[in-house]
Amino acid sequence: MPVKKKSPIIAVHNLTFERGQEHVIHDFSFEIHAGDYVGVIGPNGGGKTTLLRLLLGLLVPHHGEITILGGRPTDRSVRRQVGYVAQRGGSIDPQFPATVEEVVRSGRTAQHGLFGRIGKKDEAAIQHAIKMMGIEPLLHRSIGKLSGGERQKVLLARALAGEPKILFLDEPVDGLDPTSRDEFYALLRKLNKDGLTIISVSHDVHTVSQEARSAICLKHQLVCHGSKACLIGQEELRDLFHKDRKELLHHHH
Amino acid sequence: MLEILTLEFMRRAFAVGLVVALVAPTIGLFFVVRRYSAIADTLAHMSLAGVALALVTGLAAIPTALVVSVVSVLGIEKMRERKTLPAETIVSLFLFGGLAVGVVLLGLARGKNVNVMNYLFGNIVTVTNADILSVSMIGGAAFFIALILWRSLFAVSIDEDTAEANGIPVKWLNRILAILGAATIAISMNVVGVLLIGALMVIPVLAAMQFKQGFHTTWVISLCVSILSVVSGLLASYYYDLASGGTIVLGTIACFILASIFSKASV
Repeated sequence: MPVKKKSPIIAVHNLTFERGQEHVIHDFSFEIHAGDYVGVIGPNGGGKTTLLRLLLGLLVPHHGEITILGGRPTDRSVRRQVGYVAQRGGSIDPQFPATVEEVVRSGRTAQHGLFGRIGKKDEAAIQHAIKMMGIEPLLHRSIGKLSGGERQKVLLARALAGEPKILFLDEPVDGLDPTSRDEFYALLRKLNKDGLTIISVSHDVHTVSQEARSAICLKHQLVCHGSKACLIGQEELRDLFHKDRKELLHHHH
Repeated sequence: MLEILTLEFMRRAFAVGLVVALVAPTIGLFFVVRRYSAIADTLAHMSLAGVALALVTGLAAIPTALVVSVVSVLGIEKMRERKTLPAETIVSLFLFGGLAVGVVLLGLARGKNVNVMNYLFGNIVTVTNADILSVSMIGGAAFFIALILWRSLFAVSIDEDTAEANGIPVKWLNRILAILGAATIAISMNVVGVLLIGALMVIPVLAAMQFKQGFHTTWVISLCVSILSVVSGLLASYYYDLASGGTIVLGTIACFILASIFSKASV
């Protein structure tokens, strides 16, 4: 990894995003360092997915500045270093005629450019991603015939095929059974241990407190940002989620 | 059977038909998998407006239809990118707008020695050598551009947001695909007519999708369906004196039904 461990890989300053008259995200700033595993939590409609889409350059902020890997989120050179796994497979149609292998290979498209061919380096990255996710037996299956857990592994492999420096995930285990969730989180832990910076949006405080190294909690404004202790000690969580804090942190047990 | 290949007009018909059979499902595949097939019909109606304009002004039909449908499809894409109206509303607006302009212009062209029915329903046996040249050039260019951009178009088709987040130029690829669609429509007018062009872009792909294979295999099957339908449709048209556009599209529907039966039987 060329990025120094302590340098901010993402810096957000005075970010504001409005939809109509509503402030979806209002004036907040934070930094994320290389190698971190950040859980972005908050109630539904609190701006989590909007923040993720702003970081990915899919939305343009009304005020403020986002710097990722030293550039803007919309810079092509930045985007080629970013991986993204959307909620429940994003907009992939279950009827889409594609094999698992074709889907994973598509994750390398940005790296070899519009007119480029898949070279040895591309092929090695694709095979590495397939092996890391352990999806070799699925390669010739149709993407529409996979279980939720298998599908998320494939989409993670697609993201990893691009050899990202930062991996963004939006509710990655939403709709998965407990075994698939555990498997998926184990994979993320391993990737983070290997140096990958992970930013994962979740409405599940328990999971973030278990899995992430640090947290960003937001409800239109930044409620807290820092180590997981900011969640444990956060008295406002109950108000944010309209649930008891203990229930939020332990509801899976 | 080979006797028909001794006829000049049938050789021209097969030449143009085979080019269209290769190009239509290749471009149509990307529209169908994105559930955007209605764009084919809209482009067909814009092409009709282009043909009508050519008849009024005396310009060449295929290039004029191509220019009109390219301008229209870029307008559709621009409006779609703004996301102020649903995509299907925009497509309907242009579809009826194109038809209305076409009807008005065809009214103005009345009295000129033109056979509008050829453009509406297709009449492949009236293909000229000039048509073969323009169909081959435009169709060949569309086909090879699609092959060159294949991986990028696939990545955008499967998941637009992820493709954009990874730095693939989604807006430009959508515009290029729309232009390729307009080119496909323009070259298919003589073969199946503007009213049935959408069918040749969509039905072979739908037939191929019944087998639930990968993207590349689906494309190959759709090409086979398309070529089979064009050849059998032209033969039926010649031997039974039927309209070529209708027989070709009926061929694609027969393939779709057979594909549905075989794919279910093989599960």
